[in-house]
Amino acid sequence: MLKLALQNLTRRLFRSGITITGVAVAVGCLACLLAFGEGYRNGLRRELDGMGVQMMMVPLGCPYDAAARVLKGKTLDVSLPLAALTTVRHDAAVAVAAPLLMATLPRPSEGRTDCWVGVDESVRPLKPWWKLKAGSTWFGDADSVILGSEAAATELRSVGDTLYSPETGRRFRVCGILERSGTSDDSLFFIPLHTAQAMFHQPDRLTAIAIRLKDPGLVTGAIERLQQTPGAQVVTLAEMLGTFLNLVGAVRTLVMAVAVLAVTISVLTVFNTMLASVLERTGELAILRAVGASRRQVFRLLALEALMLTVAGSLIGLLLAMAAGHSIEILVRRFITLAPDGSLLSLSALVAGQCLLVGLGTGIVAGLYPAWQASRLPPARALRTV
Amino acid sequence: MHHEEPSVGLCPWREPEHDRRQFFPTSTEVREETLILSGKRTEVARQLGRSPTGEENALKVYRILNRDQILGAVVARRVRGESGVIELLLAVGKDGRIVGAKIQRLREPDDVAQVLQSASWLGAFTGKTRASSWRLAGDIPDVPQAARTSGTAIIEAAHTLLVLLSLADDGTAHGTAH
Repeated sequence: MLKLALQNLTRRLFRSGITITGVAVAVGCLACLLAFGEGYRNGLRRELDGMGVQMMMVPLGCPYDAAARVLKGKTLDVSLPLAALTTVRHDAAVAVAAPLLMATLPRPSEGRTDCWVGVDESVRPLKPWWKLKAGSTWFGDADSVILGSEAAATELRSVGDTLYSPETGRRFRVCGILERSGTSDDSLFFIPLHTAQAMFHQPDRLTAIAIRLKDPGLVTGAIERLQQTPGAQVVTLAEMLGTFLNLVGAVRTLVMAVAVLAVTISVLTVFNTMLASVLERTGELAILRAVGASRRQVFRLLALEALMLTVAGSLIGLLLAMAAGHSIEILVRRFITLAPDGSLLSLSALVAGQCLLVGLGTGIVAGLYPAWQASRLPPARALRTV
Repeated sequence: MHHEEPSVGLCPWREPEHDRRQFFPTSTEVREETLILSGKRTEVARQLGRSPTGEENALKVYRILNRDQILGAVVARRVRGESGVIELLLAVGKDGRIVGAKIQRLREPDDVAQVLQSASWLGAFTGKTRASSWRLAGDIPDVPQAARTSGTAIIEAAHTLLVLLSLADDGTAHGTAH
């Protein structure tokens, strides 16, 4: 029966091809969407989990935008007073409070942006992924710099080399190079906090304070107290994760509606193809019945043809998603400035399985009626059309 | 202390349209090729007087054409300057002579940057071939002490690029064209 179904499909190669293409595009879209959703969620969770902090104190404004910018190594237009650090460090629930001052010096014509981050020793417990590739673990003096692995590779620097900042006229000695961590730290230049404040003319100012609590259960009380700090606001990373996922979820729902529409169109295409096939093959099906094929066998033949069309379409769709996924990710990243590092597309076995199920479902839904119609053909009446 | 030499890697051509018009005004198009030189390591080592690095196994060459006629090539290289990376770009005629040189990127102090980017210093590269003499303060104008490390690195990079390009052009290097 499989052979007969295959012959029937290959006899009308162009029509079968168009139908398979329709299913492939629909399943490909669905696969990309599901893979993007899963990849984004995983990437964001991985990045936030790796931060080692529960809260960020940032200047007044949109707290989520501010915290996300800080986590991604980007600057803010506003800053916190240094007094906020004292307030945070005096809070009973706070275990570690690490001040950060960030500044970027973009050079678009050279395809680079120098990202400088001023830190003090308190940042070390919050950076558990910091592993030294070479050099010393901390600044030797005020003019020392620790480079992320990509920053060192970009500037061709080794430990002991000089690194000059043309914009600020400061000369640093590379005292350490970090191993690649897969986080935004890889591309940053870390310098002592006081040096950064002097270098960027921000004395007694901070971009943010990363906070780790003694006990994560103390978060509610800590937020209430720290929100009272003038000019500052506090955001927890759990809130950030939820907000980002909600934002992405809203967009995803909208785009998913388009994917559902594409799948519906593909169901109708398969339905139309199969119905046309039944009408065209009335005589042939009648002969099948006349020579002894049961209604069930005719039904199964047509249902099998519909399933073969959609399974082939689904497999091609998955291959399309795998092939085009990288290009789509590049496109998507242009519109998500604070996307997590690492791949945003996660075409897992679960996603592939879900897409194949949708493809099978399409075949079943679209093939049922035409197959039922074919099985109901009375052989005697049908033979008159032969 | 573990001291690892940083990888030079392939260098991009940052302003292709501008540079092509400047160095090859009659050119109409660019064809990008990546040539593999791993089969010529012995010859590369002989001509450079040192063992080639891993990055020197491949060379990205931008062929400059006027319709079907090759006018020359553009090659680029990242260099370890005294204060950060320097990106050197060379425009080379089809006879192997330098048509023009440009520093695409550097992070040296202003006084050093001005010397290294000056027409009088970079201009001295014009007309040179891989067989020319490349001595600083002799064949190439001297530079102040502060610029000497970076200047020497640039000269070494220019000579290396010419050697690699000439070996790539002798017809036996294989690679891909785009």
